[in-house]
Amino acid sequence: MERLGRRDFLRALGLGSLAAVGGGSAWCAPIHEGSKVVDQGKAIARGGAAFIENGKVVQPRREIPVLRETDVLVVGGGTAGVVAALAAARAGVRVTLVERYGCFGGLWTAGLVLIVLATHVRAGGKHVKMVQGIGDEMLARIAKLKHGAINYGPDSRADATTDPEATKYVMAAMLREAGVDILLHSWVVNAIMDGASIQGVLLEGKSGCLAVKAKVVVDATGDGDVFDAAGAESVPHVHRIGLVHRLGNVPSGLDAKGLNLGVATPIPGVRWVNMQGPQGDCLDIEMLTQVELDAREAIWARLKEIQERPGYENVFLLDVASQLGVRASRTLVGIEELRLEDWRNNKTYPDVAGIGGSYSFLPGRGCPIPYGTLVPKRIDNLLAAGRCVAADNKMLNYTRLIAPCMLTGHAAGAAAALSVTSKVSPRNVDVAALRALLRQQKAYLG
Amino acid sequence: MRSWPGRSSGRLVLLVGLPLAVVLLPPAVVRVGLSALSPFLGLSSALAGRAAGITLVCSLPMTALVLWRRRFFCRFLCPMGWIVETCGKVRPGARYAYARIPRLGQWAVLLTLGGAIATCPLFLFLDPLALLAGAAGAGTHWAYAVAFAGIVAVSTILPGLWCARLCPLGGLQDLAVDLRGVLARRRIEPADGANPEGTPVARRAFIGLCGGAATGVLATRLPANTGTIPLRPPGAPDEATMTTLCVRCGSCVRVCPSGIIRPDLAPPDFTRLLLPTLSFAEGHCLDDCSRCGEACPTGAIAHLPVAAKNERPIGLARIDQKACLLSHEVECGVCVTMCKRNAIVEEFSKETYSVAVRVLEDQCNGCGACVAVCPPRAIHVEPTKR
Repeated sequence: MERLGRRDFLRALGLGSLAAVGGGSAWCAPIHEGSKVVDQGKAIARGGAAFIENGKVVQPRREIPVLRETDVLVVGGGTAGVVAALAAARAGVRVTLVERYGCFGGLWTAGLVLIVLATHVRAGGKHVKMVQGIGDEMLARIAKLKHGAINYGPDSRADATTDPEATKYVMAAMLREAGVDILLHSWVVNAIMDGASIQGVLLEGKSGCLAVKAKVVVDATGDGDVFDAAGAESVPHVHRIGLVHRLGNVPSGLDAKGLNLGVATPIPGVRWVNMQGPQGDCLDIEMLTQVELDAREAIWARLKEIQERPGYENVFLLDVASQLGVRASRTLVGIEELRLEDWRNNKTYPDVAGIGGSYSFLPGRGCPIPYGTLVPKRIDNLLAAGRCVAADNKMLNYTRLIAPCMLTGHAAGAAAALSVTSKVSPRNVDVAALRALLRQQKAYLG
Repeated sequence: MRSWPGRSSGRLVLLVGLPLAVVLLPPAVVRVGLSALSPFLGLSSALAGRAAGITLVCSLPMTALVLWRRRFFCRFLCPMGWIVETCGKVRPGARYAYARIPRLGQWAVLLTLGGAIATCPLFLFLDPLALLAGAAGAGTHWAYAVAFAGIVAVSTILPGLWCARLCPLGGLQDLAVDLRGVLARRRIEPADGANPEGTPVARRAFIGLCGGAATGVLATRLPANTGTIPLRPPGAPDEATMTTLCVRCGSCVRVCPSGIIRPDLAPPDFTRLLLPTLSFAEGHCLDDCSRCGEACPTGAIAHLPVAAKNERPIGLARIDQKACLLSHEVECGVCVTMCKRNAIVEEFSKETYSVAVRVLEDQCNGCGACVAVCPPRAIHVEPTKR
């Protein structure tokens, strides 16, 4: 199918549907440079202004222009979303990836959580790589860049730490190489449903409200915004919300007692400093606002303390994360759930779609992640990936780590592609075929 | 002692079979069996506890039996006796050569019973059945294995010495028969002809009991005894009762699936040597287990249903805030994750804009699940007064 150019499409829509949506401000005014008209301008798909009716704010009922029709739509360009989009695109289906900010990596990059935890198991002095396939390919490419990563590879006893810009750069490059259709600066706000089957999403952005239709949707929003909008069951959580920052010009070898100088990054003299922060509902914008404001003050107060210490006068605040460190908000109620008790009891699953590395409370051996944790109980054509997959309130402290996000992303992308090519709902995807595809994409499944 | 089961092949079967039986038999059988076979355990626990408990009641038939037939138990029933005699036959030509060695076992009995009157049974841990029970099985502690190996070595070098001169259970039987003779106003010659000129039994008993009681009184008044409380298995009573009731058989050590119970080798004072103490370095007290109480032959560790056991505090978790990772903004909170009783909570301070974890004292039962998982080992369980 020959796709309409985005601009033509919007223009046609803006002009053609104005009457239908009943006025409003969706007016495409000519664009000026000085007094010269340089372009015709695009319609903003706002569908008319909201209005007051009986004292209540009402949005006009309107038709939403469809911006894309695709096979697999991945919502969220964080770790899980990017890996999911890559897995699906490499399996040969059309993929659109929607991201709310202007870069990829989510909390790994914009959130400045630079450490890649749970990639491997260290047993008997040996480093056994658990995250292989797309996730590891990404790490290897980042590590190849100058100042791209530290502690990567089997010789390292510490966990790999990457540079956020290198990570963003590699992610974008891999997505473009794989032919993924990318939509940045777009915030997905609702689901398009046909009964219990998701058909796509609505997104908001500078172009107004637009629809993206897809055969399968992968919710990699972290907060489960899509599956929640689709009516899937989920479990709400409160957790600590932090705000990470980086310090520059940090000298080494001086007495740092009592100072929190964080952890080394690939850039010499630059360290990233984690923050635990208060517990709260991460889906409440007032809470998020409060934390954002308070945390920035706290960071400056700590910086002052550091600068008052002899030898540290020239330490500066390099940057504060542009994304709050939300640890947990919603988890899916899936057809399977990752439980700490099950890991302890060595539970086996028939549908293992990835094995994560060891972590503080999962020491010594890997953690199998079953495909069922990505599949909603009731809603069709929908998969979850990343920190919102089905896990109990202990295991979500594992599934939220970057390596497990790579694994759930990889599994979700591969399954979404299989679902499209075999024309079955993700729930009914042949597990053997899924595992074969994941293996073909070099994933480690034990 | 020559009339023990004779054939060496049969002996071999016993040697292998006994430890196996201790491991494979249900704890209840071992528990009752241990008390039923040893009047020494029964007597001293009754004296020390000032009560005729199940241990004493179980041991009554055997007491009657050994009064009727001197050393009947040793000859036909004692599993340690079988082992010791087999060891004695390892060296061809070895002879019984203990005639000049005093009857230390009898003195151990008297001192222990005397100590028990002062709530401090001094040598209770020498009971051969308790030692055997402690040494048998895969989960045993090395201290029991060493003690058992010691008896085996002594018996190989000096055949029969343990049974005739050192074993307190054997000594008790000799004493009992001698005392029966005194009560019947006639002198009974010692069976093995040892030292007929030795201290008369009544005097021996008087000196031993008084000595034991005096030592017991002294030992329980030691300053160390009043201060330190080591960690004890869940359901353990106060320290004084624990010291008197526990026969140091190591059953709890052996059955603990987490391997956290171990015999106390560095007790605050001598009287608490080999009492079960806890170490959370590699494991914790499981919330679906009460096997230590089930295995305890004397009830020193109360046999409680699992739910009730979980409500008996072992101690209280204490967190070293200076070492805690969370308070240094490092991603952690594993203790919060691991605590099944939700007894560890995060507390956020707006002033410092940081998080600290706190133990809810009325929720924590000191199970130790948070100890080994803490990356900087910032948590320890502090014993509470029981």
